[in-house]
Amino acid sequence: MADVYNWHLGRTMSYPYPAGPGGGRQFAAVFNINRCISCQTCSMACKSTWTFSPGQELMWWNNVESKPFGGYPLNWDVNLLEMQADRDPDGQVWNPEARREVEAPYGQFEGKTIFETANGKDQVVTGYIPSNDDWKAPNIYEDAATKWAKEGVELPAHSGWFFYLQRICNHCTYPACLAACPRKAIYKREQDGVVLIDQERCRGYRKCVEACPYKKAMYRPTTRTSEKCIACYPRLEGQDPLSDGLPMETRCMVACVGKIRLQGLVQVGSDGLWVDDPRNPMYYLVHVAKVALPLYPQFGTQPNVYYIPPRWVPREYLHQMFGPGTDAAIDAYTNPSRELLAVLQLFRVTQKIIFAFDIIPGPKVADLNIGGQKQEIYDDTVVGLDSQGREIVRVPVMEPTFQRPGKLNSI
Amino acid sequence: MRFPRGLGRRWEGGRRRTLAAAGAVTLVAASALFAAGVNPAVPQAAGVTSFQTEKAPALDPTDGVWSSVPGVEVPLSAQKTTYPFGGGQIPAATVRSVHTDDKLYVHLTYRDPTLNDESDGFTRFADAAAVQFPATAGSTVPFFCMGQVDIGVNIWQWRADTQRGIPENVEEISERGYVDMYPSTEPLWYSARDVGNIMAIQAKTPVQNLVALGFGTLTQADSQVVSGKAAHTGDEWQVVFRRDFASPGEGQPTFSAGTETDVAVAVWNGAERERNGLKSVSQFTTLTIGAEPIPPNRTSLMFLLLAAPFVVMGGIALVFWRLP
Ligand code: SF4
Ligand code: SF4
Ligand code: SF4
Repeated sequence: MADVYNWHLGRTMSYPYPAGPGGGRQFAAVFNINRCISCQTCSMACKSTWTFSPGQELMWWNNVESKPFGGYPLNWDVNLLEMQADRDPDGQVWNPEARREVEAPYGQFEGKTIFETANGKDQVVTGYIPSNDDWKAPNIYEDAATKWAKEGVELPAHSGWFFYLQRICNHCTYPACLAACPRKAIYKREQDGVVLIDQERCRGYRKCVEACPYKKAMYRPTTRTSEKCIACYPRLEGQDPLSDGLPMETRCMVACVGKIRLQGLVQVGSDGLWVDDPRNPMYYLVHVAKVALPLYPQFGTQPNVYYIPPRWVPREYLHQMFGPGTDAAIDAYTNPSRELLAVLQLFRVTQKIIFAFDIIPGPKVADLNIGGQKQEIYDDTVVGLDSQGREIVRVPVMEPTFQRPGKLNSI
Repeated sequence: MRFPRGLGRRWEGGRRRTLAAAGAVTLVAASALFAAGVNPAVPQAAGVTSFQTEKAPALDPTDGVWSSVPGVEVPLSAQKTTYPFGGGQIPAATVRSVHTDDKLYVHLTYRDPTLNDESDGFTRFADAAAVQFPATAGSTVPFFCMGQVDIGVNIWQWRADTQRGIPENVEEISERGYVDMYPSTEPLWYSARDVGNIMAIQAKTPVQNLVALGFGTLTQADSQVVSGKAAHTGDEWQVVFRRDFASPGEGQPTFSAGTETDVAVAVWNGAERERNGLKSVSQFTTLTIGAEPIPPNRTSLMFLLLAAPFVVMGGIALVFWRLP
């Protein structure tokens, strides 16, 4: 076991391998839960690209589930939370006071991670293998709210609630799947941090399926190997003819109808932290605006998909799911700064990966009052730049509208 | 870490003498063994002899020849050397071996009441058994767990799921499974198959031919030339392995009559979700590819024993009868 620094936890933790040299890029994405309509276009985009063959019937590398009751595989998160609570009784707590910029933005996790609760004998990661039945109903409990709120609901927390959770492999910085594979058949690429299972070396032991806390490594009986989300790496590499050799976002991202997803690549330093780059939309949303948070950071894998938490869900539930950064993230989203409002417009306006943005100031267009807080809206324009610093997209905050002449009454 | 071959060799020497003496076995000694209820087919000392046979046995673990071949019971224990630790529920396997002029046969028998021959579900693991040899016959004995960087091992792993075959459609995989159509079933879409992973193909043999140079290095050999077959009868598995004497490639030993090398055994109980390091393993024990023929089997010995008094009495009667 080596000591590695996990900035989600604000501390070093044990991991079977030492941290990499840094200096590469890391795949990252931000999912805005507030906007998802569960149309499953993302799920179908992935399935129709990568998992449409015999043996992959139960496999959804991208899935969207309803919380709190749904889960694919069934109860994946509560099962592991329970195991962690059993092995670290009363220990799974945070100290938000220890918060430090970039190094410990959510404070310090004082409990044990899934690497630290494992027995080190038959498991180096605490986990379990879900049964076939657990994978069979990816949308069971779809749209099931905690109660029928006859009286209606209002913010800050709805009395009857549910929300959609969009999930892909997190291409974790400290992947549990990789840690658990006794054959070292799983590797994390230097150039983009993408975590892959080598299909030549995998022998179907399913230690990765057992170890992945997000249950995103899946077993395929027709090849007797495990497979997982590959972050559409040919697109990240710029191999898609549409992007002229430039890095392109993954299939599930670009297909998103609700425009909830934005994906990027961030630069990682030799200290394992994200290199200061506030013009990169990922860096901006995670470290500057602090509006997007990792999913179950307490598991300890330092996942790289970040979520803008749903505003209407009781905070206690969200604290467990997204850690102590939740309240600040919801505040930032509810009353976005002028800059954040502009950056939020970049979601799903281009297939090419945006490496930097610029904001061109525009006129003030509205004075709003949101939850008792005054808000001035400016029609700024945000410009997205590609990996070469060239403009690839330009979007105003105010969506342009056009009025048809009154006498035309047909389309 | 290295395990000296000394112990195995000493035992083997002891066994040689026993076998030499066995040549001069008397009816009296055999009767005594039978009377004591000891099965002479399972010598208590370690060290496996591969007996010479003219007639090649069928590729069938229940072929009659195996009932005549003395076996050696090899103790197995849980694998506790490297992650993931596990196994230890199958306490022993009996190893038998014969050879023809150009082929080595190894036969295992071990108790496993549960037959697990498919790995089609997330939580289903198949039974398996393997024999392991040093990469070079008679070399310094490598570390018994997967060899070591400078001395490799060659592993022949029989797998119950491979013997059963790979499921090709959803009905085989999942009860009530149904799919209208697949847009493509080209090998490209079976990535592991496409890159030649033997786990993923409909294999011609249920025995995988593997090489290793230490933990986590297990790699499939270029030629999958080890044949074999297993049968589950009652509450036991019987497995037979067969390979030509000639080495099929690097890291795989050449055998010949007179070769003295080593063999280790591992078994995986699918019912306990055993796979990889979660297994029951033996240490290396000596394997001698000897010139001795298969000893007469127990049934013929029994016949001799029962017939002898009658022959003797008949002889005496004859003598008396012929007496004037
Ligand atoms: S495509 Fe977008 S909006 Fe639709 S389910 Fe997926 S994440 Fe949600
Ligand atoms: S989400 Fe799971 S499968 Fe993906 S990198 Fe992390 S541990 Fe591995
Ligand atoms: S990144 Fe690509 S492979 Fe991964 S879930 Fe999305 S579409 Fe599927």
